[in-house]
Amino acid sequence: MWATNRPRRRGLAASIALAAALVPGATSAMSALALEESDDRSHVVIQNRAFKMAHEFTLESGLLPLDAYYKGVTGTLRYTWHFSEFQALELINVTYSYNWNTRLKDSLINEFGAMSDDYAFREAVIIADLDYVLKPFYGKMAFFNRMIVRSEFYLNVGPAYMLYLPSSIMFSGMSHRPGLNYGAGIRLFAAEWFSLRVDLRHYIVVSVDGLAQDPPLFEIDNVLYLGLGGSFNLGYD
Amino acid sequence: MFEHRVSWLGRSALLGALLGGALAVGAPQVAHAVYDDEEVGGYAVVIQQRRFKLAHEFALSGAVLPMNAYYKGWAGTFRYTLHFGDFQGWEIVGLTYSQNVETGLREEIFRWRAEPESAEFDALQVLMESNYVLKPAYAKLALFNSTIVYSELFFNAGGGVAKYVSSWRPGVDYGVGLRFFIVEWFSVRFDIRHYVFINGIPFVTPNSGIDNILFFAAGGSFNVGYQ
Repeated sequence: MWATNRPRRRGLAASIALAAALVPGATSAMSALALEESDDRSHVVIQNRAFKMAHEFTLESGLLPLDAYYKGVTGTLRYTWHFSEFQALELINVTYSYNWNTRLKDSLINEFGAMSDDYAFREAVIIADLDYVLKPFYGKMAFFNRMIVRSEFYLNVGPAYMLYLPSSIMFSGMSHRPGLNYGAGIRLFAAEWFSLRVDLRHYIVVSVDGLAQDPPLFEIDNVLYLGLGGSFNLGYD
Repeated sequence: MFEHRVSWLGRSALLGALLGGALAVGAPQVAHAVYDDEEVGGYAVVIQQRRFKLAHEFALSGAVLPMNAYYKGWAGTFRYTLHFGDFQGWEIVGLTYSQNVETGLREEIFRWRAEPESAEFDALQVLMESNYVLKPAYAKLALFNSTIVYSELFFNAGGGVAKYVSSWRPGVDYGVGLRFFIVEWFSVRFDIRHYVFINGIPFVTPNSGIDNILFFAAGGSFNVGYQ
């Protein structure tokens, strides 16, 4: 796919050229060179991946920007087991969200007499999900034609759970909300053991315990998550 | 564009390969070895020409504007972008029309006898913008190790004006996008943008406010005039 100009690569190229001169089949080598520039994109990839993921531990910070009554800044701990080049399981994914009130919520409480512990004001504080990860794309990215960075695109889907709490610890009342999530992300490899990743996820959770409220309240809550973090890869070959 | 650096040793290697090719046939495993540089890694200089080059790009996208508490927008966008280099472009015009759907929040807060302020409830309808586009990364990706897909990562920053139901608001925006080339004349693109529109001069105009808008879009681009 890409060539290098490092001295040791020159040596490698010279060795390969010498072998090509001696071994029958150098024409095939040249056709392979031409293959790079070919219009036919239905190739079989003949390179081994430089970076292979195994046991991935991710630390991520993010945002929950969507809710009308609060906005959240999050911290996430995630463990992902990569059992092939194309698939993985996010076995542990726990997010804590630090939330603050929007002006609307403050206004409703201060000017219109809304109660701070109203069920509608519950905030997502803990998010846990278990995801299947599909990693269809792997490749090389040239930055300003100068630097090559390996990258990976992935999709995730799985069940999710959110713990909602009142905005103040003075109030009691937890709300457990199951649901699902899906998303997409991009990873930029810095080294075999470290990569940067950006995640975009959409959680859909239902307030099943809201049915016990008076009056009964059944909500479907859409939570958008935007995350940026780093991953440590252990146990790779 | 891509640099073409061939050292004297590289030329010798190429010459050797040509001589070998003239003498023999077969042995594809040698060809594979040429590409087996992934395990070594390290600094590299790109020597390939770009497979896809953009010139005049006309994009049509479907989008969602999910940020506003009182309504969600389902939008259609048209963009014309002039690409004047491998790394830069100018999105001369971007036009978005948003069809807005109320969320029910207005009814919800009415139980406290509250009404949204008019500025808060003012819904974005039309958005016009112009952006500088920086395209630092061009990628060659393997899809399930069987198909090669070319891709481009780009960033944009610029300004625009938005027509709300009862006001016009100037603002700025920035964003990031990802393009997958299908053929030279067509690509699929995904955009995420953040717009900040102001309603009056902050701290000067009474009831002035800032409206943050997130914009997620997916669409197709037609590339015209490429060489």
